[in-house]
Amino acid sequence: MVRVIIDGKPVEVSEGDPLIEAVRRAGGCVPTLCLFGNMYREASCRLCLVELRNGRLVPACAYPASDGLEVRTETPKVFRVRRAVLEFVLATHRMKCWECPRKGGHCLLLDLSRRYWVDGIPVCSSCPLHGEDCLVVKGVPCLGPLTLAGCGRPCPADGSPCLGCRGPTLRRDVIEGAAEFYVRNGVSIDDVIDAATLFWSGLGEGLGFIEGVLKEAARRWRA
Amino acid sequence: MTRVGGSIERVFGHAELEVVDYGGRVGVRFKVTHGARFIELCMRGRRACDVPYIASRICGACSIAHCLAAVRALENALDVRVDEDVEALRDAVNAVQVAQNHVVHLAFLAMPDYGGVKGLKPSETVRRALRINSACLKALNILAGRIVNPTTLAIGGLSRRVSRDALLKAADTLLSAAGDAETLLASVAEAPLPRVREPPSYGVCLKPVGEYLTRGYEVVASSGALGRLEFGVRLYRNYIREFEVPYSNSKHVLVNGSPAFTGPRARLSAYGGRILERLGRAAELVEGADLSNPFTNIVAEAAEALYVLRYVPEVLKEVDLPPPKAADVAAEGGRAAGVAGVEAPRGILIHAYVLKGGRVEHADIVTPTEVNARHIEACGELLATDALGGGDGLEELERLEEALVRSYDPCLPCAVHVIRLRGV
Repeated sequence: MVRVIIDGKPVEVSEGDPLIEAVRRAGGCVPTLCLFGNMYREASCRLCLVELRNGRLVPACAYPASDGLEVRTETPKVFRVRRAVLEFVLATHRMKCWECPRKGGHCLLLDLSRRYWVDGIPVCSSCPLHGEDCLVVKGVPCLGPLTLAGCGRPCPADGSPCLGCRGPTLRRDVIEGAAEFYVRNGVSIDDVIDAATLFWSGLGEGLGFIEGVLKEAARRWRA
Repeated sequence: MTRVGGSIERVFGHAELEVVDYGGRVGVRFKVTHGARFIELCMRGRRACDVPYIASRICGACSIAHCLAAVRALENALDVRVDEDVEALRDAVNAVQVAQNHVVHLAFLAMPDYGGVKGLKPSETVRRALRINSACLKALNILAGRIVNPTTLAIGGLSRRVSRDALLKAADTLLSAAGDAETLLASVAEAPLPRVREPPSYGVCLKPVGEYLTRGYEVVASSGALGRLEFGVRLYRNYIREFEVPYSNSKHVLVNGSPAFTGPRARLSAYGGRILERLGRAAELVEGADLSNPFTNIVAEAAEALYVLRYVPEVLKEVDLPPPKAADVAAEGGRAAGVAGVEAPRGILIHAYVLKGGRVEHADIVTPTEVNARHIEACGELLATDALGGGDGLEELERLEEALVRSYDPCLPCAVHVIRLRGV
């Protein structure tokens, strides 16, 4: 058995055990995306990086424990790096939250985004309205697919369309996906833009950009 | 010529009061300095279904009243029928916000004029009001979704169903605060209120469809000196005239050419007899209050709060809500007009819309504080005339004038919702 110090707290683990085991025994937790028990332990996602005494960052899921190792799981450097990792993951993520089975409170990416201050994920990711209950499916120009998540979605939860309080996502792929979602469900893009102009402005919020992308994508989808 | 007054504290928003003694004649100006907000102009061109979202945001305190007035006016314009039980629930939600507004006003804004605030430790009155406030907010969360900018009031009814259990929970929460409300009424009724005469003026309120503080489709304006007027809300423009004054961002209102007051004192004067039974032992306190004195508006506030906490739970226990049904509000159609009145915490609130092609062509909103503005000045002038005649110092007069303004519980953000622009 070896003794490692996790965030100032000493714990004992077997020599060679991954640091994440020590973190668990210390009662802490480190976010992971690619760790899957004993089946996948390749340290590919780099989300679980923790900081050693000498400032070096190592993946907690794979780095072996040795006696006297001092580890910090949440430092400013770790925070910045984890955020960067998350942004990379999300950059290639197909954000069609309105069709995703993980919506309504089961989306790890949304939870991580909140924790590490990463924007981009739309309100649909946390909206409880599925399938037939979804306001867009009912033909209402709800702004959920275009609006940044994080408000706790009180409006759709109460049956009212999202008004875009937290501002629009500026990810082209998300906006294009939203256009397809609207058109498929018979919601007029003009109505969506009407709703968007209620609280979004052209100055600094990119309303013109969204309008352009929506209209172009809708045209392509309809054609 | 002596001049007193300045910024008025303990009111929602920004205003100044100016009292000028011209050597014999006294003039009072209620100068609302809160910036104009152009709400009625913002609504132009918007789809009908968007309007309630803008209306809610006129005011954070009476958000529900504005949203409800907008929703009902649009339902009126679009000829949308709403289930009776849903209307009863919407009335109940409005009444609970009225009670909540009243207790906050009493404890934090008005009563310090009469009790004296000593030190930082909150008084019993404040603690009591906070308990009542919490109970009301809890109930509103259950019934209306979000309290500020409510999420469930929609054209056609409610956007989500409130379960039987939830209704009962809200009812119990409100009832639990009734005892505190009765004690609060007793302490307000005992407060050493000053007296002021009022000029010949109308007390304006809606004629309630139910017992008290419910929806109404007719306006009642009554006055000892001037008689009584009754007219449908749709005809409000024939009797309620708004006009600008150069020194204030709030419009002023005259009813049939005379000053008017609205709010708890007006409602209680007209229909108070209906609620005495529910006030129990506190009824005699209310009967003993001289409602011809504008300062007693705060006694009326406390009475209304107690009434709501006893009456609304009964409504909640009896309503049987249908499944939520949002009206199909398409942006199309010819010209249509709709008007609705709602009793907001501070008095009668009227929303009127002219729609064309499903979009707003013209919007008109009359807020209770606008209605009260001229009355505040007129009573302020009488107060000053009496005080200066009686030899009270100017400092004492300033204190009294501000207390007078506070007793109306003016909401300045609501009052400045628009100014007319030339040619618009």
